[in-house]
Amino acid sequence: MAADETTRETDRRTLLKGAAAIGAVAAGAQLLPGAARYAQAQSSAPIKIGFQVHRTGIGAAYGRWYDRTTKAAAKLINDNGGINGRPVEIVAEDDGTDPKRGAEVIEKFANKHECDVAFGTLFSHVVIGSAPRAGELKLPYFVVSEGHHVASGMLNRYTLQPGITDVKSQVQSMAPWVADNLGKKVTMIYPDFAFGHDHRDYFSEAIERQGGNVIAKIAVPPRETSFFKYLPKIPKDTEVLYHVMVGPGVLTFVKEMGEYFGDDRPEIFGFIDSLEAVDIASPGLEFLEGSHFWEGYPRYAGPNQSEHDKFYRAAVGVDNNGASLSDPKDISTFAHMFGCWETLHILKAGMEAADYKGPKDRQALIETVENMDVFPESQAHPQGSKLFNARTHQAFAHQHISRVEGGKLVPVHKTSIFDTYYEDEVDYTKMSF
Amino acid sequence: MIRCFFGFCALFTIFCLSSEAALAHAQDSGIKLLLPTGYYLIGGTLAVAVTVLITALMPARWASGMFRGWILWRGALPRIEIVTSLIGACILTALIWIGFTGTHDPLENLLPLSVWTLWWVALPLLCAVFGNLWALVNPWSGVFALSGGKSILRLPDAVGYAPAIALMFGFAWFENVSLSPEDPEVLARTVGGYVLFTFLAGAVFGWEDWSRRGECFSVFFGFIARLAPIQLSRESDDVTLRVGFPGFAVLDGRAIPISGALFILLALATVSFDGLSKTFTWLGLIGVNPLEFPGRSAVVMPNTIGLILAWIVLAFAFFASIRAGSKDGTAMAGGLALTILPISLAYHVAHYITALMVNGQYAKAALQRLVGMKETHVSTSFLNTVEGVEKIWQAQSGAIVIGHMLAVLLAHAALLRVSENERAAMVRGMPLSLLMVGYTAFGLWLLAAPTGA
Repeated sequence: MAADETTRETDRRTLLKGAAAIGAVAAGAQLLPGAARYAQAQSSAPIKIGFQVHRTGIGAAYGRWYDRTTKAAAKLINDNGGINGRPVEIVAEDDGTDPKRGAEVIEKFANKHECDVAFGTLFSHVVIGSAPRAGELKLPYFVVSEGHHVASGMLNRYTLQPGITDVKSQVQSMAPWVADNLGKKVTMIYPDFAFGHDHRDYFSEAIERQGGNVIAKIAVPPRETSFFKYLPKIPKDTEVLYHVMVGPGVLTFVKEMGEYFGDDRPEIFGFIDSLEAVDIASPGLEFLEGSHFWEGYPRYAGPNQSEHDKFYRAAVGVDNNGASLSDPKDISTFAHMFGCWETLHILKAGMEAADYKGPKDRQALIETVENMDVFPESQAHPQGSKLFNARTHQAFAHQHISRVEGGKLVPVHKTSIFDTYYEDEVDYTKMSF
Repeated sequence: MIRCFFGFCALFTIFCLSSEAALAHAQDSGIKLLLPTGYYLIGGTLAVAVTVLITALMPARWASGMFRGWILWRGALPRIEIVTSLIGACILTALIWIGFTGTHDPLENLLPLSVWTLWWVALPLLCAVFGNLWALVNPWSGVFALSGGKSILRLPDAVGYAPAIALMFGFAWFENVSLSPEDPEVLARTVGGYVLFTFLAGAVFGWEDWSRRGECFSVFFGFIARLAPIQLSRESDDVTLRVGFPGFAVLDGRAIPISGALFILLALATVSFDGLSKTFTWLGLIGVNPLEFPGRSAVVMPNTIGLILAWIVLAFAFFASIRAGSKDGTAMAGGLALTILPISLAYHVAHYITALMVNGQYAKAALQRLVGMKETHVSTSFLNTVEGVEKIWQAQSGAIVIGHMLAVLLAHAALLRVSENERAAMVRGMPLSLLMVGYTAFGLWLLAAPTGA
């Protein structure tokens, strides 16, 4: 326990030192005159960033917004002088949300398009299928996947996830607030496969550390589309119902839950993954009023909206409800897509710090990013400050809990970054290149 | 035989209805689960069943008269099809070049957007309204017309539509099973290869015959165009414009051979299986978690087998239904297969309407970029609202029901031509009509089923 505290204190000092240092660098950068754009570059050839994107397949809804965010970030970077004075070129390739295709795309980035780095993609199986090829080709692979596969140690030194937290962090960081504010007797209802099992395992451990416990774990077979037979399994003394249903049955699940409980219900806590890109005010979701959700980045801008958030939304073309400016009913994948924006800015910072000139500097780029242990909240990091763990190649950041009020998600809690920390499961820095 | 047929149909229905459901677009599929699709399924199926009964009681002259065409205009028109085909060839060449050299993003490159959205989704719908536009814009006929078009070999009659079937199967596999049919470079290679192959085959066997039995898209669009309410036909410089009820030209001319029937059934089986392959039912059957679809590469083999099986099952059900209606049914198969064209078109509409609405926007944005205009952001909000999903569902289910009703009427009209009286036509057509009623239920179930791929 004492060791934990020491580690936390060290990390806290690192955060503060890093924030000051990076703040100074950022301020200095802003003094560069606009006329200096590209002027100091030794080469005006573009930095090629291979963008592995779910354009088709089951991830296409996410891919559309990842694409839009990436384009907005690249435009901003180019408008401000590019990277090391060189313009950024995004080379998009569709991975079809397929691991085999994902690996092919990585190969195209390295051998055909001669990209400097690869970036993007969300679905875990695509990352897991692509990362070994990126390692073999020695192509830095910056993923925006949210999966625990990076920090778990199953990938390689060339794969990093500095712009978004992983599911293990997200889940465990919810436990303190849930235990303090909603209740300590939790029933979990989740789909019976790896995604649901991760939530079950991470949250069970985390709530126990808060003095709570999971009194029932209800696994629902993935092919179910009606849930009435599972709802009676929820114990009467449940204080909090934790749900992470995904897929087409989600809306039915909420509707049936409302019919089952009526007005007499426990506190309800869920993950926005279930309803990402879905309007919370949709008919049928009324039952969620008063319930709580995890959000990686609050979809609805609150009264304390930061200037960085305002800037980010305007650049991507998203309004204060997380919907497209061109169609207020077109809800974005707001809780996830910021990772593309932030990762591109980390690439810019890393390449500039490493004085990146070409593929021969790829190793230096990775080592430099490994040394960038703090990303302070800024225009480049509108979601908030992040700590980057070089050993696990994984970012840690504040998480958010929002309450459904009037068909909107109102932020009620922001976790500490330290709530998201867990012990290292790997040390990639000890792996050779 | 009849018992065998109904037993098979029962098995087929059980297979189709045995499990719950599936998700492709998670949101619209989820909203669809909240809609009263069961009522639509029952109502739509009953509507087709009632059509069968009304058709059986309808005086013969009504059914025959319904599909009579009227000459609206006759006169001379210049041969524009050579020019339009050459323009089509130039545009296709430019698109292939764009596929090789343009952006690698399939939703921004004009080649995949043109091929998969404008050509394969929108053109059949236009052909079903305005007639055979593919005959005007295909990239080959103009070149062959200018070159004289002599053949080196004759394609044996016994081959029938076999080349078109083989090529259509290859196309169906490429579209629905292969790993990356939308990748611009892969598509450019495939389209370019097919164009050159067709030039070669047309030069060897003669374009007229190859376009009738070998070039699968000329065959497909030619069949679909028979459904159009306006028909333009040419004899030398004389052109005749006829109008009539949609489908009035389906029964025109010679009946097609068995292989032609198999071609039409393959087209219908392809689009049916593409829908089925995304359902929870199919994914469950092949051992895939529908909430964690592993990607196309993991299901190449089961989906290849499924595509073939879908064709076999549909062909078996079709021929068995004709055989059950009449001992000389096989001879009528060609004529009756044409009557399922409205079903094929209905499935096409229902299956691709969402893709048309989404990718049509990407095509518009790509064209805006091409001419230097500010591009419009793509929106899929209509898939996230109850009103949007309900309207799409109504359009889809409406197309399925109307398509089957038209098919029932056409089949009865076709049988009246070869039967001694109305009663004989009704008896001969009843098993096929029942199959159509069953296929209505299958189509509506397919649309309502949750999907996961």
